[in-house]
Amino acid sequence: MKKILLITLFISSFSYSQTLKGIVSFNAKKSVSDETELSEKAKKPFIYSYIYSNQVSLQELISEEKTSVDTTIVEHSEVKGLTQETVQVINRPSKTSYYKNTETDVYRLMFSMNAKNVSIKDAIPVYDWNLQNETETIIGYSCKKATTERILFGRKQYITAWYTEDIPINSGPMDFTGLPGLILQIEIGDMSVTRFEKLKFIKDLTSDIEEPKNESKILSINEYQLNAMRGN
Amino acid sequence: MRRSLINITNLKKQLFCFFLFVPALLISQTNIDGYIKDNNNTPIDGANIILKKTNTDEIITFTTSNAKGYFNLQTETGNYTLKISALGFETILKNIELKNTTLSLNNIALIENSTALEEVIINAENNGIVQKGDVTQYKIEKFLNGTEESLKDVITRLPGLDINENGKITANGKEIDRLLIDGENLYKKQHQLATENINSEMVKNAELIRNYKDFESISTNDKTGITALNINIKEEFKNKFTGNFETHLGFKDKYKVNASLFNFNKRVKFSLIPSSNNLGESTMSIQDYYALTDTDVRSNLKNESKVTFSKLEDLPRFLNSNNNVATKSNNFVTISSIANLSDKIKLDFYGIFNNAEQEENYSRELLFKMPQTLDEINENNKIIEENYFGVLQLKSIYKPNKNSVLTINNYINIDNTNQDKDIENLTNIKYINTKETNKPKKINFNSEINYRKNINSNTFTSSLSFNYLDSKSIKNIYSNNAFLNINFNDEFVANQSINKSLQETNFYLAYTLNYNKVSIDLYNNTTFTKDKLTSNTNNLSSFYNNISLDQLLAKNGIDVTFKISKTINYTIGANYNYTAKTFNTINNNINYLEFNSSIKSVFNTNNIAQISYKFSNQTPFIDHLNDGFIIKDYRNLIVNNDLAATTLLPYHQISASHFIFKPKSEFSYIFNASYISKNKSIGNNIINTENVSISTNKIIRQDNMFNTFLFLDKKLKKLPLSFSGSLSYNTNKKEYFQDNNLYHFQNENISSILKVKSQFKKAIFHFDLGFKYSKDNYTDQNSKTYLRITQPYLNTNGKISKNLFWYLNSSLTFYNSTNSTRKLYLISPKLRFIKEKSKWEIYVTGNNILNLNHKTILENNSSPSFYEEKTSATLAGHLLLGGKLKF
Repeated sequence: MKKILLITLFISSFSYSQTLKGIVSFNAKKSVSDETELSEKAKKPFIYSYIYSNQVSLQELISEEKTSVDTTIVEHSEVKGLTQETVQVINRPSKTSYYKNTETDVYRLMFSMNAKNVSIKDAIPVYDWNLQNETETIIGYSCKKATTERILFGRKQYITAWYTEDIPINSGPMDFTGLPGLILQIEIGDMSVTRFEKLKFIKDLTSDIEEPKNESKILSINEYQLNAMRGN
Repeated sequence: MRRSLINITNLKKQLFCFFLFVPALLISQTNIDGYIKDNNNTPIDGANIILKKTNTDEIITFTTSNAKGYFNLQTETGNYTLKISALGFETILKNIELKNTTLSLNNIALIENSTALEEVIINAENNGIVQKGDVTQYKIEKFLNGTEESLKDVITRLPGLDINENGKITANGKEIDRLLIDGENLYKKQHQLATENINSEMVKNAELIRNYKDFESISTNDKTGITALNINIKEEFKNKFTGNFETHLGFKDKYKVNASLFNFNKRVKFSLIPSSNNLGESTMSIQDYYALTDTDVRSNLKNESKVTFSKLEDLPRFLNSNNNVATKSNNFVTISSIANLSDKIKLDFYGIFNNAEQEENYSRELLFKMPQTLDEINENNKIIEENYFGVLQLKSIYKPNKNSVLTINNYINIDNTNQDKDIENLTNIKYINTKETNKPKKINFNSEINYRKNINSNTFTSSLSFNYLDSKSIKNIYSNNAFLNINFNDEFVANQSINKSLQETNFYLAYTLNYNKVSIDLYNNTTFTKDKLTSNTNNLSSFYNNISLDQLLAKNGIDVTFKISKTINYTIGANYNYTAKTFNTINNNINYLEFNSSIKSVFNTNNIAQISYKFSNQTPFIDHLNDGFIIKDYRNLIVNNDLAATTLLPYHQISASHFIFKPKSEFSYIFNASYISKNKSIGNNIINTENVSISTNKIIRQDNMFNTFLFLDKKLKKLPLSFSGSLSYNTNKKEYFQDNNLYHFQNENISSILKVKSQFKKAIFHFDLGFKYSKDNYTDQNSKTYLRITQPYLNTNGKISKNLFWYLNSSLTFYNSTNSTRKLYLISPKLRFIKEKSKWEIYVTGNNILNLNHKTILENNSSPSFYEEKTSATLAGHLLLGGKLKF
């Protein structure tokens, strides 16, 4: 009898668990390294799938592309024989997944670029959000603006988030959380816009989101930044 | 070492500062905490808790609940709104006043939200429509182009929504059941009051709600089948008096004054709309008249609707005269207020007063069909009518908890008409002049008390109502010649007085049992009515009526609904009726059975199909049973022939409907068809002679009606255009008698509208181009006539500059009938000047400017015994200069 009671209690506590599925796009406007405009290839957005269920979210890259090297040869007609060669390397990761568990405060970022795997595990980054009164409608939801700043690879970035109170989930794209509602759009400076393109709620009992498996040595965010800046 | 020293001094400074401010902090800082749980007392992890300043959207602070459902917020003392939301649960808004240093809310239970659990799809194209369960939300800014003036213009821009020819709002081609302003049914069925008086800039957004449940509803069934459109008002127009005042003046003393005063408060909503004009614009239509006077239309009970079609009671003419009048003026005022005295008590007050004055001039030629002794009649008519109409209604609703509700409704209606008719009969070169005065006065009082309670999952309903109707009608006819075959002494005068009264007491009891797969409705409806009709004309015995009809009708029935699958419901029902009738002094009892069944498939909120069948019975009303003549006009008499009070008139009705709305692709489709077959019905035997036409009530053996309707609407993805089209077909086949010989006639009507509307967002030009077609066929044993109306129209509007808007409506109508053709051009331009941030608007309005002088219109009508050709004076066009002040 007690067992049945326990089971029913257990079931009922999970019966409302909703799963949110979505599509997130990342549009780069400018490259990180300099202020130049991007080539058409680099402008192509990254498309991610997004899933949220029971405080856990996972954002994974769908469009699988490899890094490409474009060589542009510019001929200077005014000077005979002079050609200039520009080599443009567009780094595109072939695998990316962002995992956040707000219950256990675990943030995981895994990606592989140029055949190198990176695994990051840390606490979910905490941002000091500055709530503002501006509103905007994104994919049909009324969103509010919040801003913050962070230092990444030694550079200061100004971040704008648009979140909606209509979806009461403490989550968002990439590593962003901490607002009273799902973050539907993240603008990092004037370099990139990451936003939800599609959202779908599913009544689902079984979508347990698994933590990504390690494919390389686990680093903290700071360790990775230090490694990256050292050129490793 | 040195470094740490600095730090220490710094720390000291900080500490000093901290202690300096401690007293102040202690006073203002406060702490809120609580546990968020669901109905089963399970903690909700990750719920959002937001603290906002009361009545604003400004967030002070926020947090999320932890695994134990616990949250903790710190803020300053003051008044706040606490918003608690979690995915899959209904959001809670709590007004709190923070005085003490801590506020412990203990356990807060969230209710599972059924609509959020259903699938929600949001479109990537960001098309401004969000479908959440049963609610379709329109982000209106996505659809507006800036030329919109009132709510009417906003609604016609939204996909799936439109306003029909009667001024009623339709959703996917079907008239909506409720129009809500900020959640309150302020305007009842009179949508045009809201759509024409609420300015477009007041509208925040719109939501179309299927399966709407109002405050009165305690239904446990989520599928109420009621469609409601909710218009939310922007915050800046709330909690204060706002509205507008509009006045227009034109040539030939044409004028229009219109004002509105609103106060949309959280607890009390108020609206006052007075208007007056002599342009022929009537605020009340024939539908409104029925909605306001028919008890069954007003009450929400499951009673079967009975529509009394009586030849004795003519409707006031101003309702149906459209624009075929020489002059028409209208004064109107409506006051409406809904007050939520507390969470449990709601008061709903509604009042309308309408005064209409009009003059009609027409001449007509009646050609009587063979074989009749009479050939033709030529008449000139002049009718002056004045009508006073008033309705007051007060509804009180008391809902002590979610499971019981008590409503008390009081209603009074006064309807008085004074009508003067001057008829010149020119038949046979003999000049007959007749003057008629008609003074029908009606008063109706209705009081109803209704109680509903949910007992576990079952529902108990009871209601008691009392209805009192008193109508007195006086008719005086003077003529220079004998009429109606009456034996006059010296002068040709007939004075008729009719008194009618009705007292009705109704008691309704119902019990609904809900099981897992079956729900059972048991009901009893007992009605006791006392009807009385007396009439007297010049003390003539053949014109004398003194009849009474007392009835007791007890209806006991059962409806069983089976939930066959997730999407399909099947209902079957039967009821047993016992009727005891006392007509004058003769007692009679009749017993009969009625059946109904239906199958309904709800594939999803926006895809519903239904097929239903109903077998029902009617009995004649007292108005059908007059054994003495009643005068309709100077040459028409009505009398009963073979109808008895106990005659049963059975009918079968089969109907089918299907509707689809796809908010994503902005496509909607609706199909309706119904067939009514009567093997026994009330018909007429018509005898036309030179001086009099007598129509006697007679039983006919065939009266069949079929109608079907198809509607399609689609907004294009690639082009900013939307297409819609509708097609309807109605036919009626009926028996009639002429000089006691049996004949048949058939009426057919086919009508269709096709239109293309632009959906440009920022263009300077917008259009609505369409084509209307309708054809009426009339066939009887010796004639066949038709009337075909084709009308292309083009309505355009746009911006000349930021402040100047233009509107141009034009149409060309072709009328083709069996023996005549004519064309009608209509051009109505309008200019509107608004200044940004100014409260003023200026208008130049032209209506039908090609016809500023009086003109006549030709109409053809066919009826079983004659063919009518009618030439009436129509209302002239007008040109007005006006201004509007918004406040």
